Amino acid sequence: MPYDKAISRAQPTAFIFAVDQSYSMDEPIGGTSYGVNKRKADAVADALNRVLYELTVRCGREEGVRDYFDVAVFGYGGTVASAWAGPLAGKEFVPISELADSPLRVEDRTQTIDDGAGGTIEQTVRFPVWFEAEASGGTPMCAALDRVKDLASSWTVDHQESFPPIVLNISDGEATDGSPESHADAVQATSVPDGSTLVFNLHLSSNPNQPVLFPDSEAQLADPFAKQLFRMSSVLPSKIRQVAAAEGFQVTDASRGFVFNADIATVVKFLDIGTRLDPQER
Amino acid sequence: MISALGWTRRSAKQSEPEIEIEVTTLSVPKLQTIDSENDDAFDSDGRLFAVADGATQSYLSGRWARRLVRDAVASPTFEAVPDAVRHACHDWTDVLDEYVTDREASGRPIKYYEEPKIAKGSHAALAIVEVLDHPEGERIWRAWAVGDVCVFRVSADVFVQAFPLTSKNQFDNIPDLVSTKQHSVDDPKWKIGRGVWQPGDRLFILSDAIAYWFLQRWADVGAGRSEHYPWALLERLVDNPDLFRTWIDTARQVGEVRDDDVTVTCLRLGKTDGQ
Repeated sequence: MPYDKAISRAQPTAFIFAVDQSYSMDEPIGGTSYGVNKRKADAVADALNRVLYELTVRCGREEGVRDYFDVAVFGYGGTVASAWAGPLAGKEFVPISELADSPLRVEDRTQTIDDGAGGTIEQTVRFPVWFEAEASGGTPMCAALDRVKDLASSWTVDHQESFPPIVLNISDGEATDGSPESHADAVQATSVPDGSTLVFNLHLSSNPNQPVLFPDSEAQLADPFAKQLFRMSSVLPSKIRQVAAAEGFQVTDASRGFVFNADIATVVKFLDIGTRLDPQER
Repeated sequence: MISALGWTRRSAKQSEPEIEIEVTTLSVPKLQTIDSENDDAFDSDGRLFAVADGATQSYLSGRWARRLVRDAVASPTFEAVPDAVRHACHDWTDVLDEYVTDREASGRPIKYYEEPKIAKGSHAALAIVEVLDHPEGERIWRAWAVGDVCVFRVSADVFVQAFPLTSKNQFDNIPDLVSTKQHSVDDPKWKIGRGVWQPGDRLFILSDAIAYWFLQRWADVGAGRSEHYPWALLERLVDNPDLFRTWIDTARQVGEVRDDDVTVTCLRLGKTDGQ
């Protein structure tokens, strides 16, 4: 059965995040969870840093961080480049242990939580930052997917016994350098024996339209651009589909890793579900 | 005792006034890991036999597993085991404080990414077995369990009893666990089992990966897919640690046994004074 390989230090898997950093990411994101006028770029940066932190915690043990994952982050806007900075500048794939030891900074942020007695309290939480928000230039998604394809291809050569890489592409609009569909197909054509590289797409919304979450048919989508992104998205493998179902999402065997018109809460959920591969340990 | 191969073996003939019990335990960490990363633990005082399986995703789970089995078998009675475990949970704060202090002193302070897991506590599955020969002549065994460490009884080459899980379909990735952070008065979710025994019986106390394999193999034999009963294989292997290590590593590599820490405790129940 494909997409069944266990994740271990000997057989890590890979996540590649491709993040739209075009000028339109400066616009507010849909959804009011975080208040009014939060920029799409900031919402994505916060969500991405949060998921990177969760991956680090998941792999952390008392003796150190176990390298269950290799992680790459690309930004595409004025340029297409690896988005790592600081100690990680210039690198593409970074093992999770190196990521854990190299945040740009660790912030103290205030979080409001339920006090269990009908009220709320404020709690200080640590928030490491690896990825900074940017918003300028066009949307060279095709060029970004080409870089992702090259990275995935070289990674799969050296990891034939691993679970396939997962690419999470986050964008708020159409590509400005051509049709990205064939470029996404080329990414999905890279593979290991356990399966093809998975491509999941998240489209960010600036308006209050209802998100479309993990559709299983183009017919559920009215927008031609949404249909294109649907075709560019891989079917959810069983492990990830189960996570989505456990989170309350309606999914079928044909559901794709695709969200259209995502609001701020959905961005967080999408990234969480797309990366919730646990090492084969309880 | 930790051998150079990285497994733990204890073998002793235990003599109660009434019962002879031969105890053999083997414990092997996951593939490509070292002994210190084994989150399973075993302990016994000759009267109580305990196996714990630390949840790998939780913090200091191996240390917690070792503390649990130690405190469980130190309980004055079988009935008092839950109290002993409760005290272990209560005392864990001091253990953790000492650990954090030691890390600071050794120049390895706790890192930011360790803090969330420390806050969530440590977790382990646990089973404790007692074997009795009552004055009235009824030979019973009884056990406490939380989660999926299993006790299987084999008598005259027949698999007669399983506790607390009786089918491989009951295993999942979210078993009940003994947590250092008890969330309610109902935590942990203890189950109590008992049964009879007779001389010559075997009681196996197995951590979840090997317990699951045991039930799968038993089903395969029943369906004609295999000729070898799981208990026969395990009993042969526990007497040959090198062979056990080779077999378990191969089984894990081919997916016959899930790649997890494996602990097999075999209690060979022997003669009693009445015989």
